[in-house]
Amino acid sequence: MLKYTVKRILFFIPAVFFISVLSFMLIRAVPGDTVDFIIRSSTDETANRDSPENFKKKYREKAAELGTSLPAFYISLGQFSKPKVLAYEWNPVRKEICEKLIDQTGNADASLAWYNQLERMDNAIQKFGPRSKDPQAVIDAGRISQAMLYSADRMELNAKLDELSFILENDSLHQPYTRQWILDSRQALEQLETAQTSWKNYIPVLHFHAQSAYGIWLWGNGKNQKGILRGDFGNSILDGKPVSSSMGERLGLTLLLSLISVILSYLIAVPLGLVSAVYQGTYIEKGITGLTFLLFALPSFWVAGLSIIWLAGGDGLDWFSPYGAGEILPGMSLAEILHERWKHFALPIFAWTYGGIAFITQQTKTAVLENMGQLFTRSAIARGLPFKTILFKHVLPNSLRPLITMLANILPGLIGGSVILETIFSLPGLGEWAYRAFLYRDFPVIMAVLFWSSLLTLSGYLISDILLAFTDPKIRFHNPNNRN
Amino acid sequence: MKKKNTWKTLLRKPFFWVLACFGFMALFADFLASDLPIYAKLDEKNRFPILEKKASDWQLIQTKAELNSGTFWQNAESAVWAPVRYSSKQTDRDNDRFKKPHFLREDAPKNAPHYLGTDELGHDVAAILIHGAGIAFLIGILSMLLAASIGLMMGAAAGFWADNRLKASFLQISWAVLGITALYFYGFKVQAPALHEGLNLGGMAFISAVGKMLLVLLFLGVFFMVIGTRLKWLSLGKKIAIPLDFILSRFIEFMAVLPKIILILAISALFKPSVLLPALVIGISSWTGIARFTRAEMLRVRNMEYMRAAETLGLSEFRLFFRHALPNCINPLPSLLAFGIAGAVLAESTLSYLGIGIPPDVFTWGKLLSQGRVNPSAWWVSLLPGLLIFLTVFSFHRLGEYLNEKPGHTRSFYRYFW
Repeated sequence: MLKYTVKRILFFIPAVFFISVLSFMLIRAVPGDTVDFIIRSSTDETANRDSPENFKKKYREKAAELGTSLPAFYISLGQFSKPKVLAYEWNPVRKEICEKLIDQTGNADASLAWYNQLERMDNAIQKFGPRSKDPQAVIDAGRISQAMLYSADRMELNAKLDELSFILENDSLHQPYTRQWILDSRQALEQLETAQTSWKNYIPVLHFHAQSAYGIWLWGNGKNQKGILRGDFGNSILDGKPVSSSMGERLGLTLLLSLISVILSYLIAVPLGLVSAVYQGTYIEKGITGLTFLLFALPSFWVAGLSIIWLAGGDGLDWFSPYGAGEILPGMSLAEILHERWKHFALPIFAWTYGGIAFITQQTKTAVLENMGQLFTRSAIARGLPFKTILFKHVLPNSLRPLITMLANILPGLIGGSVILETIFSLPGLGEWAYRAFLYRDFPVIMAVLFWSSLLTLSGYLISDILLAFTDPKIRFHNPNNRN
Repeated sequence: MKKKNTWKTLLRKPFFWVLACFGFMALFADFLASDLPIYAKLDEKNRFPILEKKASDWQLIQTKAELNSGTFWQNAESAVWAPVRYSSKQTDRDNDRFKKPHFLREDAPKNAPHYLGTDELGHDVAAILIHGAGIAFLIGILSMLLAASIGLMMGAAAGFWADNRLKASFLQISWAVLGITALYFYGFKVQAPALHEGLNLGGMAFISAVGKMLLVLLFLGVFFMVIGTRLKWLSLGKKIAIPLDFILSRFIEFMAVLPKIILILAISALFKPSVLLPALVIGISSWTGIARFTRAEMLRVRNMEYMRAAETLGLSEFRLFFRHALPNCINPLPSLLAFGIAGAVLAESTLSYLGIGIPPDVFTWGKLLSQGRVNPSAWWVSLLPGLLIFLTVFSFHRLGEYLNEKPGHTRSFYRYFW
């Protein structure tokens, strides 16, 4: 038994690893610039009025801290045309444009040379600007060179370069310099056009990296992040608080509600299943089946919304509280606390519970019917035992086994359900947090939620498997066919 | 004994008529609710504006300005209007902010009534309900087709080759790893820029990019498969059994472990909102049930006598798999699909209730329902769409059960669809 349990727990490790890699891949693929968001929304008031150089410096530091400028994993499959340096590029615009140019031409040297030249020129134009004779021309030139930094369309770039040379030609003061810039840029662009090596795009290369974002997430960066192996999930981007500390409270609430609703749905469904098995073929059974499936088909968010409208003070009765988890004040008596909790939790728990009843009822019914046809039941009948004894002492304990497996399948559904129900009832739980995190691309929170929810469901599987093994010695770890 | 189910017994079931009714609504939504007339006589010419509008949407004929406004057609000599004279996207400024259904209002507009009231911005509720049926059905069916094709292949492969039936030499395994890498590299990595551009441009660019990708994948797949199985020197050396069932089962388990809605949220953050996005994400995240069921069926079928007989005849693995084993485990598939569609419709309405995945100018049942939170007393907004969702889900459930009742297939598979 111990061996089995240990084996099952060891299976946890690859599962959690796989899930974390998968979620990491998902998150890295999501568009949007997190670092930019953090800097702009930081409490530091000066951030928005920073000079471009200052902003770039801050950006670079933040990107290094979060690991967004690093490759996602330690190994990556790349194209021969794209140099490894590009994987470490911290400036997302430069990275994106250079990659696009390389995709078009296959020539990394020429692409990078062109972009460097462009950046040099842009820098010079922004610097020389204020001392020029014709301020409007400089502003125009600056605007065009900025736009060129964001473009990977070679036709468009050529046209813009022509425009730029026309404007700068009129500026007599800096003419010697500007002619040189334009000349250099033209050369770089021409190089890009003539020296194309598209075949390089079609050769795969394996890159190995000394540092990766996944590594930082896993065991920290040695500075302010400790990594999840030491229990640090980073800081939330939205509110800046450590994820692990908020996780505790939120996970607690979601777990509490899910557990209550699991227990409730089993308490309701098992007797229903038993009754419908005993009265199989009669209208009682048909009524129970119909009713439970009717309940299953009711969308929980609809029921939740209607119950708020009709039972929580919207339009009808004022029995419950529609929003929040309620407040427990220090001087409250136990009855008052219970009343407060009841007012806030009754509706969510109801909406959480009723949908699951149908499946558990069906499962119980099938299992009980199956066991009623078994030989041990027949022998019990032959021994003249009363029906109640047969049902509750012989049939029911044997029928509970599939219900244990069922438990594992219910947990992901309940946690998934928490997303929508907690959002509707504004409960500060895991699901509501996940929803908000996805809306605002709060990656540390998303990772933590994915991690914890999958860990929870895995534990559900584990517990149900161990319980099963306790009740049924036939099950061995080597034979996974038994599960289904 | 249970009577055999036929089309005739189906006609007597209420759920069939509910589904038929919704299916009709979905198919002919444009003719049931539109601001254009179905037929109009204008300048001595017979016109069919709704049909013309459809044709111009599909770029079969040139777009005309008069097809974009319903008011133009009001001075037609004679016209046959759609039963509901609003399209789902049209806002009626005179009747916005949750106007009551037509029969409860005293100041109702006479010539173009809002039979079921309006929502906050003045969209006609009846029109949204009619057009929402199409979206719900489309997403439900598409996502389940996707889920079925993934789940069927995964589950069938796991069950067919089990843990010890697929044997390969070391060289063959290396070849397969190489092949998978090549498929990923040439199929996705190299094509990614073109695909991205196609997604942004839409239309032909998208179709050609996807077509090119599929062609490359197909060519490479066949290339590596044929060489891997036919080339003699690749299959030299000691053969190792590949625990395919173990690998795939664990993969299915991992996917089932991730809460579905969270997976859906994560994937839909990757793409621009569109009507097909929910179908894609629901399909990708809900194939595990079908895979597990097919695997169990396949394990059962694989051990049957006739399979051993076919094997003894020396048939190829390919033929055994596709001609002998697979057809015997897809009998319950229609029923599974019906249950799956019910789940997908529910998931779609959940997504649009949360405002995820669906573009802002498309109105669905779930989106309409979410407006009920703004104005709780507007029961026509908070009650009716939910009722339709409920009816669809329930009817698909009944259909699934009905299909499952076929003699010989009475296995319970509720537990696969948690």
